[in-house]
Amino acid sequence: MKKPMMKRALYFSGAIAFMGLSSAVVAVDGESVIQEKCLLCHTQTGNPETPYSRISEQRKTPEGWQMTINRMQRLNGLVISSDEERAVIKYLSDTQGLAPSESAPHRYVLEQKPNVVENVDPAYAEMCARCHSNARFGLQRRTEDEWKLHVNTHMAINPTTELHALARDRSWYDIAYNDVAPKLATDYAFNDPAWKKWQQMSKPKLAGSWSVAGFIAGKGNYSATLNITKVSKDNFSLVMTGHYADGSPLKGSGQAKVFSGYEWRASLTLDGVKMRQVMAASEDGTTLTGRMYQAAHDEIGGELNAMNGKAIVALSPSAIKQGGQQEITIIGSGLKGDISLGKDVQVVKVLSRDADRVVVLAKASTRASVGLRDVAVGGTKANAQLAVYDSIATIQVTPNESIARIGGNGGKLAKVQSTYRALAFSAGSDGKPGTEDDMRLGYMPAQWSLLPFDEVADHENDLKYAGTIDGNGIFTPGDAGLNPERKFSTNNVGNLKVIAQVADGDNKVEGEAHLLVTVPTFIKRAIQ
Amino acid sequence: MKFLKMLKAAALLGAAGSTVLLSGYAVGETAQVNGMKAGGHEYLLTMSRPNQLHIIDTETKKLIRSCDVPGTFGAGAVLPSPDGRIAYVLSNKVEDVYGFDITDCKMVFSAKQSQNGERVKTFVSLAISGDGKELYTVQNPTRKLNDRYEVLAPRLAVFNTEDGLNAKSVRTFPVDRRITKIMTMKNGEVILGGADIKAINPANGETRVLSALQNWARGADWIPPDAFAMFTQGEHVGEYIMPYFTIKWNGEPGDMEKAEFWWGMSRIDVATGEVDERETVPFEFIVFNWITDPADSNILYGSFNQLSKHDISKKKTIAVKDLDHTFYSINMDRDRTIYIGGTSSDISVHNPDTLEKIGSIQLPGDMTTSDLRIARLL
Amino acid sequence: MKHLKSFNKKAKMLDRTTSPDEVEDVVAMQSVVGCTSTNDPGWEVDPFGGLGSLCQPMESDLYGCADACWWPAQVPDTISQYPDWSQDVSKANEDWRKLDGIFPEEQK
Repeated sequence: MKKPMMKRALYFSGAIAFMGLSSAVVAVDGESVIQEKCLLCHTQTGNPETPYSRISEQRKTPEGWQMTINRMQRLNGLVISSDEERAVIKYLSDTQGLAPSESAPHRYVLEQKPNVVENVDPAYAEMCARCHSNARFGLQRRTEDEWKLHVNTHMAINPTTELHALARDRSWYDIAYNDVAPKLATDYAFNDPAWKKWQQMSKPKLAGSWSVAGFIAGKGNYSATLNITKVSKDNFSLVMTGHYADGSPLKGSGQAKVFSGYEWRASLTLDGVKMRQVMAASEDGTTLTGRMYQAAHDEIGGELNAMNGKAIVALSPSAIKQGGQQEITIIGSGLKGDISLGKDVQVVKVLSRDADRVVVLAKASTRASVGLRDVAVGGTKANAQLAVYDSIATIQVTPNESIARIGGNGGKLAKVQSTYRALAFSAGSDGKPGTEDDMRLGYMPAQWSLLPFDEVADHENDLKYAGTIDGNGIFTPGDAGLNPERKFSTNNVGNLKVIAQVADGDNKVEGEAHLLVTVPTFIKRAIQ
Repeated sequence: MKFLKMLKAAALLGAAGSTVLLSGYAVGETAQVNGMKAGGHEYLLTMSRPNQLHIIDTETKKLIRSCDVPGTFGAGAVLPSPDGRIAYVLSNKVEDVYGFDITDCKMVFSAKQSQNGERVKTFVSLAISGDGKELYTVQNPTRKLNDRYEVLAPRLAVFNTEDGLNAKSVRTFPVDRRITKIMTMKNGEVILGGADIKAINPANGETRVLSALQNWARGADWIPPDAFAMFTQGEHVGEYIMPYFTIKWNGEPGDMEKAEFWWGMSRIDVATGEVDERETVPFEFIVFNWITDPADSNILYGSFNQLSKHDISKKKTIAVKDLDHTFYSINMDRDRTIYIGGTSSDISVHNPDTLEKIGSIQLPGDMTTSDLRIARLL
Repeated sequence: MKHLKSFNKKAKMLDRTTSPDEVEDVVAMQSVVGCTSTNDPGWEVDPFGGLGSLCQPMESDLYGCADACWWPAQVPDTISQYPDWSQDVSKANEDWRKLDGIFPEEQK
């Protein structure tokens, strides 16, 4: 009885709990642990370039190394303490990690960002990405021999792989071993010079004060100052103070660890809620970008952008209608001095003012030309621009393809929600929406509703069972379990449209997204 | 009436088992073995979690015996011996084979296939010779070395059933990858259902192609079929069916407006080896398994979320009935009563003419991917 | 036949389809990270882009998926990696509340 409880509790501690931030700072040396524990099976090759069999011919993210070590525990009898595991992950991430340019295409999966649709090379779409994400292998670098052995691992531990649809109609193993593995070795090459180059570069210095703009589903936009203090090499404490969009204060503190010189993993308590940050420092150390999310529900979160020092990071909202008057929040830090919103956009009144945010009542003249304006506060110029628009032409609901998973109802698996935002565009100078010159107006408040996706969904009454959406665009799926009211006693799943309605003067502009409310997943990996 | 039907069924059967069946009937149903009706009396065999073999009387539709099977549940693959007395099952994560006397649950055969550092998996592939003396499995071995895995070639393994407990294979022959359903033909060859359907002579390992599916030569207007069978049945008429899905483009490949989507099958008469490969009905819903009506070989029944009835001479689905939940597998007794199972813990019993549900057999656990097999106890 | 247009012989269609928009919906949904695109018949989404052709209710075939290692990224496989998973629950449709997920990465 105790074991599952334990597992549950630990699950809620989040996807990157391997950081072991609260653990005592005992100097466990990763390399010694590898020699002591890993070399019980792996062997010394005698080659100083690749000293340990298999291990030395792979590079991965911290999460990737964590998954490997967990598999060794699960299947190969590895016995390793948490401190030792952390030390090995740290050592291997630092010495055999990915360069920033290598991890950049797949950061969403590290950030636990939900509802990402991957664009997968057809060579991998059916052979690899039909079971797991492209990111899972896209965030690994191996030699060709290693990719081939990786195919063998699949055959050994998932032996029916070659029987599945999209495998049994071809010589799956031969293709995987002889065609896909060599391609992987080229596309995701162990000896990519990017890593060697990155290892030689000086690494970003992260201690200091950062200007933060971010979004959390349900809370909206926030502004903050992030103060990072070095505790020991690659270990930091952090304090975040700022405001949510409604002006209420935001405060949090926690700890962080940096891997591979730029991979920021933080664990913090923000206004009483345990949160995680997964960010990458830019190579020049001027920005930290990534995602912050609830440790217990990683789908609830949003992007976080931090800029070193004083800066304007974002505007909320970031658009104003010709002749319109509205509140605009300028988000950044060290915001002192006169406020300029650009030509023909007047600051009617400063409504409130803090170091991290200035709320103004702005008015765009009816003659203001359509286009983007530079914004400045004192000597600080914005990285974000203000859009002046004539009318909203289209609303894009993001994410456009999404899933939610039933859960709860006394079961052990939590519901997986999905969250939406309405992104507005004006038609641009050609007056036609959907063309290149469309102007992005940013996220706008919307009224949210649901519809059946198609006739089948309508007929099966999916809307009644599959869940509800709230005013913040957060969809909560239905209860887990069989539903005897439904045909086949099927679950409270459903195929729905999420509708956003945005006000544009007296008009309403609508956008929609596809939402499939589906069954739970019984496995969760650090990299899905 | 019943007897006439049976005769007709037997005549159509023409299978290895048919002479057995008729001779069984010749003694009549008064015969008994260990208190169980014999003389060809039919029992339905299946498995369920946690790991049990179940014996159900098709006459009473009652579960009469459950045998505990060692090891973790496998795939639920069940194989009756030709005399109906022994049920061979896969267990222990589809690595071991056990044989049980269905009249008393006594274990009479066992083979641990993972030996000598190999881990051997068998994907439902169980078959037995017509005389019951040789048991066949397809083994898919891998080997775990100190820091890596080796993938070894699959092979047909032959066991002597008389070797009893802890039997070892007496012969092996290389076979293709991706083999699932296998079945013995009257001539002694074993049908190997993989990408292409082949027959192997278990005496010398010689193989021949029965039905080229993955490598069929139909040209660019057809996509190579997606053929697959994870469940074994067909003993009621002596057939082996490999269902497949394919697309006929009728023009430019990829043009969905003109494309036709088809279910098809390779149906092999195990008595003659004759192959009936053809498209059956348009692909309109999912069907996991098909069986042929003993009274009319043009009539197929299928199961998944629906129980369906098809007339393949007209390429039409003639009746569909929604089920209580998903059912994977389907079989039929000599009265043409339909049994559908696999998935949950209830076997649903149906009338073949109306498809109406006429009964339900409750089991103590989920069948997962278990077979439903008919054993005719002699 | 209309609803069949998007049946997923994905690569074959994507390589050669004359009207890619028609398959886009299905393909997109199956490519959402965390979902499988192995559609026989599928775990999150069926070959037609909906739910009606999935096994139903999910609990009916949960063990069929686990024991056959069919969606190893969504359902723990009992064939090699997680032989003990769910073994104490004989009927998933009755006792699904007792079934836990596998979250090994979080145990550290």
